[in-house]
Amino acid sequence: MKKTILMHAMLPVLAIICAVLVASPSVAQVFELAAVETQWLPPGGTADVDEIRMWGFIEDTGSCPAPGSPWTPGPVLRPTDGSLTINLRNCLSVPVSIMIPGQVATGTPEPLTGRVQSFTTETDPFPATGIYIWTGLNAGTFIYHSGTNPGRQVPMGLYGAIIVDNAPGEAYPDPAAGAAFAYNNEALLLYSEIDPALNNDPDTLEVARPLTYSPKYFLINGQPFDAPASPVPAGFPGARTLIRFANIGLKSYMPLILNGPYMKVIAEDGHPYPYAKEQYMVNLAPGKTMDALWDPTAQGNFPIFDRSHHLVSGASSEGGMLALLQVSCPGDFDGDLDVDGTDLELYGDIFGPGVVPALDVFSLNFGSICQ
Amino acid sequence: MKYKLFSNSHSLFVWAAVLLFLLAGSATAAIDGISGTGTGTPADPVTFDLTVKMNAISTADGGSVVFWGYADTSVPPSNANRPQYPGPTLIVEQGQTVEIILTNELELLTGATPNVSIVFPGQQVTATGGVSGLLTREAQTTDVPGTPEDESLVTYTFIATNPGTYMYHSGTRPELQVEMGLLGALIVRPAGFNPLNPTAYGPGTEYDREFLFLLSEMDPLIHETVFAYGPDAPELMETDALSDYFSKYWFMNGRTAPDNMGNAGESAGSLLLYQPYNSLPRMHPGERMLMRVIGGNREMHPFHHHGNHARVIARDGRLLDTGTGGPLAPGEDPDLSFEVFTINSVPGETVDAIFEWTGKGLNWDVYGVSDDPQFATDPPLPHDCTDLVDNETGVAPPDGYGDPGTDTPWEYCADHLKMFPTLLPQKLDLAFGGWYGGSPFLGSMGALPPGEGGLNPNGGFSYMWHSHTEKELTNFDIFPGGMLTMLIIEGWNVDID
Repeated sequence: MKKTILMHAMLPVLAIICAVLVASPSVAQVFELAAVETQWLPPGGTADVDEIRMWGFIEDTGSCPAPGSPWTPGPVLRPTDGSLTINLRNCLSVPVSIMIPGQVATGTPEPLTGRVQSFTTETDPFPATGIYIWTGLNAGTFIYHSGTNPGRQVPMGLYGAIIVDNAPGEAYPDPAAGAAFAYNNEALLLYSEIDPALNNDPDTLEVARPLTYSPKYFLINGQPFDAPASPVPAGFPGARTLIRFANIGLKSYMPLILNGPYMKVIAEDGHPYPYAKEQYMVNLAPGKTMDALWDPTAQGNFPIFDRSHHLVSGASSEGGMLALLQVSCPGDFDGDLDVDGTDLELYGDIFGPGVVPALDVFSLNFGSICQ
Repeated sequence: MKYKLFSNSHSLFVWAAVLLFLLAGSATAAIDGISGTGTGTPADPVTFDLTVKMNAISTADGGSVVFWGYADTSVPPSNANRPQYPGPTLIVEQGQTVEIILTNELELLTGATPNVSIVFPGQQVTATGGVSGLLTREAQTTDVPGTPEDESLVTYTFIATNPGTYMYHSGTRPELQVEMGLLGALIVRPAGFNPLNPTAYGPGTEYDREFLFLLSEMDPLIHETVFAYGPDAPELMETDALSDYFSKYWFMNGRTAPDNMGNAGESAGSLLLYQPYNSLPRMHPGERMLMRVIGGNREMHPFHHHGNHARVIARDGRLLDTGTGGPLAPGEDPDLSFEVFTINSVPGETVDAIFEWTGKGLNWDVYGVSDDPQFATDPPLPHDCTDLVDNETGVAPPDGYGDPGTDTPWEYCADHLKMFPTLLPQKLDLAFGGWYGGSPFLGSMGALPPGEGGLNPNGGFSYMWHSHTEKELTNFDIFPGGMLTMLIIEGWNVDID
């Protein structure tokens, strides 16, 4: 069966999970993706002049779109029944594929002829389609990306995040400590970068190659900071936010939160730690994902910036890998369950109708801050 | 070429300074820094006055690099109101209210003078005054007439809630201003700190000596470009100097080797007036050294400490146990510390580690066997290994190490009187390093050919502590230098304090 794909690069609240969950019988969930020619206009760039050529994963509409739509990272995939099928339509003139480090794909690799350039079975160039299947999904934050010539296809933009929850509002199974991996809200921060010289000449090896890779744009969720940028919704005071870090760039980044409470880092590469570690920053190597619980106590925008200082965008300063985590009160919350059109109804609006979250949100301290 | 102004003579000067320093035996076991004025109550906060200025630092290859630094402009100033690299190490106590007043006295040759600021990762800071900036409030160079606020002055206030090692740095275009030199260390001592029985985080984190290792790097090309064209010039911004950074100098506490092994403060000589801090760890066997390691600028410097592992006990100013760190197991308090011989020193991250050394495992008597015929002409110190008590508790049963107050405290007694395991070549057949005192034994000296030795006048064991990114052992391509120092294990017959 075909599922609706979440197009948000960042997920404000968990609501979306459960919209999917509720309608979901336990069969493998099928996501329809296409690999397409897109382009990305840097902040301050001139349209039709400064676009950078990109390849991207988008939700498939049944046919290949005209090249040139704006690039974003691929849609966030949230399979909820432990398995995942991706039908991939290849609209590019080169073979592509999809792999998910940390998840086990099924199927038999096809014998390859010629020079091997892929970690997994390739989908032939346009107009071919391919099928990729994973079962027994591990809970956690993961990245899906092209497994074909990844030194070129990943910088071209063929990547996205995949999130697998143990249960609605609970990141990982934790038999020892009960609700320790539960959360109320989440924020996804996907780090990557763009080298215009490589992307604008992807078909020849004459000028730009991985050998001379020198990125100029440093992105969080597909965008560099560009004041006044939209902040990343990151929950409300007194509630627990799960920050999901993922780095599909080729460099290491060190996101650091200023002025907020410490993070409690609970997992790395989709594997939970036995005990959390308190840190104000994380060291995010290429391909790495990390999960951190964060308990903001006040409203505000909290800067999170790359401490290895990739804070320029092209020739502009005050750009790059800076985002603002926005902590704000949820509507006119009054803590009751009435559906009166204005109040937030916690179970219904955040976790989906009929879904009981793993963490009792009513035990949280919204009161003094948000009322 | 401005990098060659002083080359050889300067280098000789520094090595001579190292020698004089060691001969004087005047190391301080504590970390150099300032503790501000005020008692630390909300009404009377511990106050620091910092002012950003421009000047030039020296590198040990004879280079000179323009930098922007925080100057301690408190009354009286600790370093004659000079900007310094790194900025003053701020030392406060847990629970104190801390106030930093920042002013901006940058004077550039060309280009608009930028605002400056400070951020304090790990602290909850309130900033007032100045003007609004991207990460925090910033100080202009001048007050705007007719406005109620003083735009040239920012006050940052926070309560030092947790002990630990932290840093501070510019929150204004950090990719440029931290590179230019606007960074420093912040040390928060636990409440009720007793310098005679110091701890890093309270009981269980006792140490005998502490040393700061603030590791940073510079690309002098950026500094020259800012100096010549200004910080916003296309000569800088339209290159990849900031996006594809490439460092060429590497510093420990603001100095390249071997300058970092010279004296701290003004006695280091006029070339290092803007780099008052040194980095030369020394300890006795069995002592616990607290290493406070900070990744200062934007690159990792895998900090490799020869001689032994160190136990990492805290990161980002938080103990690695779930007593403070974890919500996952109520009632449990597992030890999450771990041992390494290389500390990553991630940019912006701080690490506290405990380093110990006793010689255990070498399988020979580190103080030597006095009747070893091989060393008949330079006999090592006669000594007993007396072990009646546990050194930690002071009572029986013995713990296998020489007892305090005996000939050789913390000597590993199982190796006592074990002969040196190899025949040393004749001295005519040896090449010497400056740190060889003529004897392989702790606290002993031996005859050396004229002109040899001299950097290790007490017969200590010296281990290089350095960045394991080996190219960082250079000063602008000249080896040796950069991010290296020597740990000196001194015999107990040597007074370090």
